[in-house]
Amino acid sequence: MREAETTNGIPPYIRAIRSTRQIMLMVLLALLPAVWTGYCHFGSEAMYHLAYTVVTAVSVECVCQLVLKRPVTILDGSAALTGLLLGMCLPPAAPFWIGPAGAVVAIVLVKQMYGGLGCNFVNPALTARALLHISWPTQMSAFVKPYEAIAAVTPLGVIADYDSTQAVPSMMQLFNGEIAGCIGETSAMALMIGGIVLIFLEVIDYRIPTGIMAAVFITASLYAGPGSSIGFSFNNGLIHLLSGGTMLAAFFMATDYVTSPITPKARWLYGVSIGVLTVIIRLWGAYPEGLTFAILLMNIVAPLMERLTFPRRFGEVR
Amino acid sequence: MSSLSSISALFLSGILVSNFVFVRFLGVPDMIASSPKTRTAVGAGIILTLLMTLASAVTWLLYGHLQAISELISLEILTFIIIILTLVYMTRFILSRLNPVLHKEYVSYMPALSTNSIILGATLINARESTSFLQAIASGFAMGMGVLFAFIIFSSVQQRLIYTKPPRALEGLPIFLISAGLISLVFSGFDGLFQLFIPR
Amino acid sequence: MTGIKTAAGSVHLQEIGQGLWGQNPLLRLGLGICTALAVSGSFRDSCYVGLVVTLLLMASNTVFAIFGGKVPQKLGLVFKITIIASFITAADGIMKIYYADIHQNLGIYLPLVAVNGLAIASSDAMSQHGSVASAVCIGLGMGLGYSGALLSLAIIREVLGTGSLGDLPVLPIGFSRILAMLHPSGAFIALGLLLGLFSFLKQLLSPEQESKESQI
Repeated sequence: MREAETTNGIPPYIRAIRSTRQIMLMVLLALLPAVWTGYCHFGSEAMYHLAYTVVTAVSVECVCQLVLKRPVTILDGSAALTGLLLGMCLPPAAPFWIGPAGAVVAIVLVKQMYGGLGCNFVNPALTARALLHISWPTQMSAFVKPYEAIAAVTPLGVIADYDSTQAVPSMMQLFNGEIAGCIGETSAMALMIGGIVLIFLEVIDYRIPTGIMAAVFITASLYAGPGSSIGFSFNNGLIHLLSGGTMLAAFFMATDYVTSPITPKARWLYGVSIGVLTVIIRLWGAYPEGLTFAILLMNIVAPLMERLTFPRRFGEVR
Repeated sequence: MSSLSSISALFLSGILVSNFVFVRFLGVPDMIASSPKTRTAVGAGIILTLLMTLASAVTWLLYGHLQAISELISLEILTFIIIILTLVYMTRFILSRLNPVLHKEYVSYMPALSTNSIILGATLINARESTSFLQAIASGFAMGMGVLFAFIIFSSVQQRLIYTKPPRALEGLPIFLISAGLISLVFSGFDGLFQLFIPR
Repeated sequence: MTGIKTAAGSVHLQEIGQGLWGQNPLLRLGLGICTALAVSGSFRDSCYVGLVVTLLLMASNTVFAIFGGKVPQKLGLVFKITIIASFITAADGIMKIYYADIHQNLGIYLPLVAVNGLAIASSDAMSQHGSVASAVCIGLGMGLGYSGALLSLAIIREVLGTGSLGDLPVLPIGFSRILAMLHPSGAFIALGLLLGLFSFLKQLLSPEQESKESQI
């Protein structure tokens, strides 16, 4: 494990055109539309959540690096990004300390304890989110109706509960984000804008989000629920696609450079696997939010996917 | 429940929901000690699966008799250990006669089999929980698959861990355990996945 | 006469100390992890396991010290395992009768103590003289060391996970319990952090010894 000290940093040794800070800044900016819709729907309390989480993330990283006698790199924006992404995953009515608790886990346990930027083997924000779900399930389900502060159930929760009396929201509502959900996850439109911009700027690879979305849509469409007579339902597929943080995770979480595969084929495989696994967990598992665990599992096996799909070198004997 | 779905449920349970290593904690030292090379991990996993299935089958048959002898004293502990040791030596012997090359590799794959909790754990669980011979075999195999899966995942993580620089106090076993914990987190997400095969 | 006795006495104390700190089976040698992870969810169960382990180590070491020389080399391991397994069977039987509910909780993890290398390592650690007193002391030391580590882990997990120790509420009401501690992942992470803490403390308290050992 001391290899990283004798070499210049972490492989791959590719000189990038953009610095870490520039990339982080672009992603942060791409998230702004979603932050704005979060504010519109859930008010300033939601913004406080985001602020607490981001501030905790950055300060914890600073403290860690000072304690471990490493160079302090909070200005590269990665801690802030992790904090923001985690904040976006919180339900609006959650207690104020949940975001900071998650931020501490994400930065300290998943990132700094392994050596800092580039050394984590799973996505910090998602790991923290998963731990929060396991540790405080009730607090993490404190969803409210947008514009009003009444407790509500998310669309995925509604369709999971087949005989629920609540109406499933319309497609327009799902797209706009006028649904109950986590702070930054509700507006598919805002997230897509940010995501597509990032793809155009070549900050993220289109393969991963496309793979995830296509897989989620198709897999979800194949299962229509016990009530219906037809084999599949595109409606179901769309609901799964547009809610439950699919967009947020597809564009911003699964595409994290450190934990996603490098080769193009592996990226497709990664994306599709995430999508299929997500729907399976959502439909039959105990946690309505399947994406978190799906991505984490794929993060862990990403190196294997890479090995499987390395381009064959000329003359190499297998 | 049809037998196909109950067997599938067994597999789902063995590999994902109650994964032998990450949920039941058995075999953690073996997993940590196995090298980052995926090939070694796969080899170890396959051998363990074989032994687990075999041992489960044999010990399950005997368990009934042991229970008949004495309800109170858990004779199975000692008996199973001896049976497992015998099976291990037998397979080693057979392998060394059949295919010496494979045998050499086998010996390097298998860490301290005498202090191995994986096989004993599998046999004990099967003896106490499986209700039929077929189920014991299937369950043993499913658990073995879970172990194989765990070893493969962990070898993948170990490959990444080579490039990390944890603080000195955490180097080695601590960071491996923390990594196992983060991996185990994923398996918590598979809770309740049984419903896949139970008609609603 | 007195001189030899006190010398022997201090050696034994040293051996106990080794098991507790320097050669702590769980925190230093990494033995008995499976059982530790599994039972540390409950402080009460951990107490019993710790007790059983300590007694087991002392008893089996005694037997090895007395009979060890008379067993042929090839059968050495089988002999050791047989003895250890027999003791565990006895312990298991006693638990079944007198502490049935705890026995139920422990399930298969009690028998697994027999194979998790703990007892074998402690038998290996026995001094060359093979004196019975020395063997018992090593067993005692390692057993107490393991129990101490196990209980620390159990305290962390149970207090953070359920807010109380057995029936005793420990955490204030306002503090929300961290359910993850009761899950397997919490167990792994807690143990990993505990090991890290131990390693750190050891480094702090005896840096020369550390650098010597790390060069091995």
